[in-house]
Amino acid sequence: MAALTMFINGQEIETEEGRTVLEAATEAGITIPTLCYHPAVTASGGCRMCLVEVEPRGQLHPACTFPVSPGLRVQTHSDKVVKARRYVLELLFSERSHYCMYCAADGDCELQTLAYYHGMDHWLYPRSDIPRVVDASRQYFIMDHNRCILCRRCIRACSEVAAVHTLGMGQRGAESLVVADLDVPFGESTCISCGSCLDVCPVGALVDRRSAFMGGDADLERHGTVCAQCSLGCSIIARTRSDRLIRIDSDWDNGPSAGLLCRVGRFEPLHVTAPRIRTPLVREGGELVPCSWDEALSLVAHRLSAADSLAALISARATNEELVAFNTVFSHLQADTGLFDGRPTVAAPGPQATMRDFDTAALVVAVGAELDDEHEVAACWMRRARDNGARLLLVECRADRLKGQDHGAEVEEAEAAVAQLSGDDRLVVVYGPRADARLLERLNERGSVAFLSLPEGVNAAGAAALGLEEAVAGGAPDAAYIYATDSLTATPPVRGDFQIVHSCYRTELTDGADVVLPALHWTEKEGHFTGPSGDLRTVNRVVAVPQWARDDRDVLSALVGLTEVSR
Amino acid sequence: MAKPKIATDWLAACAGCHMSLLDVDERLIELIKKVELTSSPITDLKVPPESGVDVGWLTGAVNSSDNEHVAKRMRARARIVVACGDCAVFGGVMRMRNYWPLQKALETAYIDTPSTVEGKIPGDPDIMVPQVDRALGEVIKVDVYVPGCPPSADLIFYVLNELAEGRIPQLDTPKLDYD
Repeated sequence: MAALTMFINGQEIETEEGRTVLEAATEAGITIPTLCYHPAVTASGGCRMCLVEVEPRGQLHPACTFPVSPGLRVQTHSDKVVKARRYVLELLFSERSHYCMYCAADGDCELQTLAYYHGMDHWLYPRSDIPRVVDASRQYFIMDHNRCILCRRCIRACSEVAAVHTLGMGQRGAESLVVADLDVPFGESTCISCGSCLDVCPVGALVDRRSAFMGGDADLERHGTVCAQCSLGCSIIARTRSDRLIRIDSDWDNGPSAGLLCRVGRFEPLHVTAPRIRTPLVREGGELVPCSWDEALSLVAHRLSAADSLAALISARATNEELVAFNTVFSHLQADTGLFDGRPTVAAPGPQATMRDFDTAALVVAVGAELDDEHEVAACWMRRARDNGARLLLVECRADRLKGQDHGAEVEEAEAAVAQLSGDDRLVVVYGPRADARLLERLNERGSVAFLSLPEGVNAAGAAALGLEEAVAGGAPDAAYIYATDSLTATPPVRGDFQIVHSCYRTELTDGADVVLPALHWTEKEGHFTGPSGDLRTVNRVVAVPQWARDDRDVLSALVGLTEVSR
Repeated sequence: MAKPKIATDWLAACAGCHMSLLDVDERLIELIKKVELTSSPITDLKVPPESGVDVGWLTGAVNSSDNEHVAKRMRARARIVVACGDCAVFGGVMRMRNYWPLQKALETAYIDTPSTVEGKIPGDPDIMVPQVDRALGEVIKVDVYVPGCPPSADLIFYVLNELAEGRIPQLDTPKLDYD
C-alpha cells in the first residue's frame, strides 16, 4: 500500500492508501465518536455519529467508510460536525425507550456515553411511547426491541463472524426491527446462541440474562484465559466480581477464533446447576458423610495400596500439570490408567489449519467430527468458508445444524470431490476421533491441504502426549480412582469394587462413590492445555481458590507419600 | 441587594431528589447565607409565595392534574425553573406505564394486582386526576436541566451555588449522569 499524507484538524498525518479516515485518525491518536462501528465487522456508515467535515467544500461524510486520499483535509470537531452529531443523537433518543435509569446497559452503554460526551442534559424532541416486543424466547439472552437503535452490529456479527445469517432487518423506517429468519421468535429460529450479537450490542437491546444488573464494566474484573469446553481453545475474557464468574466475553484480539465463541463456551459454564463438592465424603452405613481431608486421604491411600487390581481414570479437562501429578501417583501404584472422558484423535498427517485457511479454502471436508455442541466454532468457520464460495462435505459427522448447507457424502465421494479440485485449490480437512487414518493420509497426498484436528475434550492431546488414551470399557478392579476434575460426565467406563471420585461437582458419579474428594473448578486453576498441534495454551486463574478447597495437584502428591507409608 | 429567593416543590417523585438536596449537609449553611429558601415540601411553608421567587426548583414528573397545577404555579411564580432529577428531566420510571393505555395501567396497579382486595383507582376531580406521564419540559418551559437519579449532592450544591451567585450553571460532560 502506498504511503500518503493527509490532514486531520490541520495536523499532518502519514497513513496508507486503503485506510478509512477513522482508521487514520485512530492511528494518529485522534478520537472520532462512533456508534454502529465495531472493529470485528464491516463498517457500514449507517449511524452518522462519526461524521467528519471534508474541506474545502464542507461536506459531511462518515469517517468509518470514507477512504483517505493524498492531501485530503478533514475536520473532526468543527462546529458543523458537532452540531450534526448532536442532531443525530437527539433523533436517536427520540425513538423508543432510552431511559437509562432502568436499563441493564446503564453505565456501559455507548449511546449514553455519547450523550454525556455531547453534554445532553435533556432531550429536545418528544418521544413516542409505542411499545415494542421484548423477545425472551431464547434461554441465555433477551432481545428488547425497545432499546434497539438499529445500528445493525448484531446483524453484521451474525453474518460475518458466526456466518449463521439468522438476523436481518424487518419492516421499514421507524417501524424497523431486527428479526430472526422470516420474523419468528428468536428461540424458534436458526440462531445457534453463539452470543456474538450480544457481545457487540452497544446498548441495552441484547441483554445477558445471567449477568444483567450484576455490575457494569467498571465493577467487573477482566481476566484473559482459554475456554475449557473443547479442543479448539478459544481465548475468552472471564468477567468476575468478588471472586465469582459473572460473564464470559469475546476476546476480539486473541485466540484461534478472534472473538467468535459458541453457546457451550460462552453460556454453559454459567448455567451449571450441579452443586459443588465442598468437603471430602466417605460412605458410612450406606450414606456419604463429610469427613476431614486427613481421614479421607489416609483411607484412599490404604485402599489404593491394598488393591490387587487398580484402575485410575482422568478427565480430558485436566491441565498438563494435573496430568503429570496423576501419572506420578498411578504409575507408581502400577494402575491401569486411561481417560475418564474425551477421546484423542490421530496426529494430523499434514499442517494444522487455522481460521484463515477456512476463509481461503475451495473445499472443506469434515470426517468423523462432532460439530453440533462440541466444536461449534469450527462449524462456524465452515459456514464462513461456504460464504466465501467453498463446498462443504460432511463424511460421517454429527452436524445437524450444518445439514442442508453442505453436500453430504460418503468416503468415496469425498475423495472424488477432492480429485476434482485443481492444483492451487486449498483443501481443509476437519476430523474427529472417529476419522479413518488412512483416508486422512490419502487426502494429504494431494498437497495444498491443512488439517483441523478435533479431539474430544479440551486437553485430550495433552493426555495422549503422556500416554493416556481412551480407557478400555468394562472390567471390575478392586479399586478405581476417578479424577473427574470439573467434568459433568457421570458414566465412567470402569466401576471399581471400591470407587474413589475426585470431582468438583456432585453428580450421579459421586453419589455412587465410596469416597469423594473435592476438586477445583477451571476458574480456580493455573496451568496449561496442549492443543492438537502441540501448541501450549495458558490457563489463568480468574477467581481465588476457596479457603475450603485444596489444589488437586497437592491432593495427588499427598497420595504419593501416603501410599508409600501404607505399603 | 436582597438575597435571591428559592422555592422547591415536588411532583410525581420519590423524594430522593430532596433527600439528595439534604445530603448537601453543612454546605446548606453556606448556601443559606447566600439565598432565602421561601418554601419547600420539607419545610413548614410549602407553597411558593405569590410575590414570586428567583429560582423554582422542581423534582418529579407530571403524572396527574395536581402535578400539572403545581408545575404551572411554580412557572408562574419563578423567574428561573430548574428541572431536577431524571423524572423531571426525562419522565422517570413512571414513563414505563405509557406503554399501555392509561386506564389499563391504572387498573393493573390499583385493581388487578394479586394482593389488592376491592381496589379503587384514585381520581377525585377536586384533588387530582391521573394523567399520561410527561417530563416537566413537556408541560412548562424549563430553564435549567439537572439529570440524575438522584443528582448527587455535589451536583445539586454546584447548581444551587451557581444560581445563588447569579450564574446559569453549565453541566458539562463529567457532571452528567442519567442514573
